[in-house]
Amino acid sequence: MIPPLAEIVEIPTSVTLVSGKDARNHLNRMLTLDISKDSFLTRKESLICDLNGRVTSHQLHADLGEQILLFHHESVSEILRTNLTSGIPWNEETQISSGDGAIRRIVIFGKNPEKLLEEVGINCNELNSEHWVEFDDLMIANIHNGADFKIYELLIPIRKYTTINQLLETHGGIQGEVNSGIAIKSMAGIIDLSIGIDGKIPLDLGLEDLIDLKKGCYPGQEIHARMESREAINKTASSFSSIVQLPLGKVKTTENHRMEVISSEQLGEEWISILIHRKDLDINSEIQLKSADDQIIIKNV
Amino acid sequence: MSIIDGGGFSLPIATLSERVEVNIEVTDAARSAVKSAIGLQVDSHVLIISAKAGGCSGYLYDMVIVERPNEEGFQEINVDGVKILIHDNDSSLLNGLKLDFKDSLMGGGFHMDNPNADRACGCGQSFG
Repeated sequence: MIPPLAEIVEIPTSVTLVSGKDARNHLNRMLTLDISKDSFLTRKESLICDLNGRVTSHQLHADLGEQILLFHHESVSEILRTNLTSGIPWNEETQISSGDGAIRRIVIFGKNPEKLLEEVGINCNELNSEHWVEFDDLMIANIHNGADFKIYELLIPIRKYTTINQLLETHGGIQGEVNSGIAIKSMAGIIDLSIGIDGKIPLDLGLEDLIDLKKGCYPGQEIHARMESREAINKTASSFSSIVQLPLGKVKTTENHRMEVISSEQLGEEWISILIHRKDLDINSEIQLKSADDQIIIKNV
Repeated sequence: MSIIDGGGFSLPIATLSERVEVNIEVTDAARSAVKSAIGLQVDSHVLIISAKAGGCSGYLYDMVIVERPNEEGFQEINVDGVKILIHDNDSSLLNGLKLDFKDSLMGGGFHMDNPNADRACGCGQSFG
């Protein structure tokens, strides 16, 4: 299931560039996280929520100072760009541009992807998930460093994409399908940008790390703060494996617990899915889901 | 060369906002407070009321007293010699605004009553 060296997967991504001397301030007023003190090459994910605290867009940042690149799913491009272009005050300089197609996002994963990356001149020792590191024109981060497998994320300008891809293949990288890239991230507990979480409350997805209740007001903050103060955060999201694909949407266990499948992607012969469930559900033992045809067994990964 | 230097980015996306003729109401208390804040600079300085993205409800009010800006695109409302400016881009959000001032230790200061707001946050600084 996990390639011994490395698998290379491009995950389609839309790109929005927020630039100008006030870009950071403008963006910061809308995000669920504080980016006011982010430094050059900070890598972080953030959310923009609506007034009801539900996610409208989930984006990955590549901080280039007065230029901040946001990577996000194509389906949220319109609402994200509409949000970003509205409410720019008269005395601030912020421009929003589309960079769709300008930069490709790939993940490289496997038991030993460092070997492949070092072959192409990338030193993996200095990589982590909180900062991008630039190598020539590309940017790279280590987003999962587990004992069983590792995941690296790369941002490659389109002009270099074919060359770098061919170089990685020449040194033993295997081209993989989008599904496996999303699935391996799910297995590492990472909800990829391509997984539709719009309309969901982030605190129901276990995304507490993407919420900063101390930063001050942002759209949806009152809802999140109320949930936290009333101890009403009783759901989370976890990854499960199964031998069949799970249909997206609400499901019930054979013990009538409610769960919701938000992603189910194939990795080798297994399917790795992310399900929302109550925090008090015992996920350490096998769970049987009711299905029209048969029962489906899922195991926490 | 940086990752974005190779091109492939669009020109900045234009903001399309509706321009309306702005009318605002300023209460006696607010008028007095604004005049007091501007003081002797009443000929050179203006009060600019604007709306910017953010806050609990989507937009935040902003009020600044500044030297009259050179930029175009402002609408001017004269209140007893005090010039209040509202940018065309904010005109549809702020038209009909009632500006009040409460002189109290708790919750005092300028207050906005905005007919365009479907909701406002508890602190009164944000609307949507």
